[in-house]
Amino acid sequence: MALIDKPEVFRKFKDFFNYVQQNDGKIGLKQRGIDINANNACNLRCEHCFTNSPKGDHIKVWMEPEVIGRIADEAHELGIFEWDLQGGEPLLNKKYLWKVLKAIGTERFYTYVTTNGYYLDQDTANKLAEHGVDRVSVSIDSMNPEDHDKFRGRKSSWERALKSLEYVQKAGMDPFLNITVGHFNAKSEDVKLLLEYSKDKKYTTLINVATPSGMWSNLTEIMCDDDDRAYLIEMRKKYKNVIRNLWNPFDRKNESVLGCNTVNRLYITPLGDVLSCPYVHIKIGNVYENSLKDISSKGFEFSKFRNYSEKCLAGEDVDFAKKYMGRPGTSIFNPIDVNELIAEEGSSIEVDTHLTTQTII
Amino acid sequence: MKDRVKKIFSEVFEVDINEVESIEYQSVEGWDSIGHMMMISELESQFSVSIDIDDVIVISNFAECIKILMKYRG
Repeated sequence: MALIDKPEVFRKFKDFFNYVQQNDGKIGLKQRGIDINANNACNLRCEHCFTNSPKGDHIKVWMEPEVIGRIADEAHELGIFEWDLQGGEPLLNKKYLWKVLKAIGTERFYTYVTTNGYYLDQDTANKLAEHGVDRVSVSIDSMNPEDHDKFRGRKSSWERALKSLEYVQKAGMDPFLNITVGHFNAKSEDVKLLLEYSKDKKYTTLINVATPSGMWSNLTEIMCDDDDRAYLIEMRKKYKNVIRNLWNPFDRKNESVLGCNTVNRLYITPLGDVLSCPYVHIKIGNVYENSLKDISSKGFEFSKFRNYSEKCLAGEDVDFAKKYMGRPGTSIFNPIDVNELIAEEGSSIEVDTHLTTQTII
Repeated sequence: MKDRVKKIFSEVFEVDINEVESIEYQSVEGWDSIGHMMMISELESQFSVSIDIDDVIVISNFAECIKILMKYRG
């Protein structure tokens, strides 16, 4: 499926392109996407889950499709062009998923589903395509089935995940092979094998960097360092089908960086809380109380989200992770309120001004 | 105009200038959705036109592109 099959999406995507071009290749304050976790239940027990689904956290809360439809209307008005349905596992309840897809109005968004692939057969893939889904992203952790299954906590999850990508391709959607890359595996032979496999199959590889959140909370040693980041850019140039949300998709040389996407891509939890991204559990509003426009404005009030960062704050900026992601008990269901951080920042600016004045005197 | 469009096609889609008349949307790696958008953007910039989205989506080869562009250039 191609973007030009959805004229409304193409128009918004072009606006995004023009904005980035005029903003020196940086994402700035331009809204681009919605990542929504409408229900947190999952059939797997992944070691790195950032939503605490394996702990059963809020797995019985479902966002009503009508509410999702209203969010989609607002997102469309804001020029948001991509919509990622994730979880939990979005294919656990297919009847609900079809209702959600209808409510979103998939003709208005480059729509994708992020899944572990366990329940994705050819019939489901065909139905997803019929419902206007453009892309399906399936996470693969290793080319070794045993390693993947151990990490995911269920036998045959590797085999099913790989097979599901074939069904996606056959149904005419964009198959994306997602890999989580951290300092522990960035330069490993296994990641190289995954990249080769994806290239051979004509898939797109999406790299998500490992973040110290959810089940991996406080594990900053997993984060990619500068060498790992440089290596990933090398892989981007070598394979050409490798993308990260952080990178500039319009750079044909495969070098430049859009900047961290916090707030540019809003993450919505089953409770309606809006977080700055799936991995940074800082709440910037709630869809039952605020408009998406106001939520975005609030998010950008915090300088860390407003200012350009060439590093992914959650997965590459150790100082940020230690300061803002390590608070005990923080999760997508118990996020830090951005107003606290804005207030702290305000007072620190006052202190700085005071000190400067004293120095001048 | 044709030569300028050929140059745009060649640069954006990363194909030899002698091949641009034979390629189609999604027939080469460079002419994907992003490539298509970059080509439209380049046409708009170089010819000082604003192409309607209805026209954008029907451009699928060089000849069609010239036809659409003529419409805007009068």
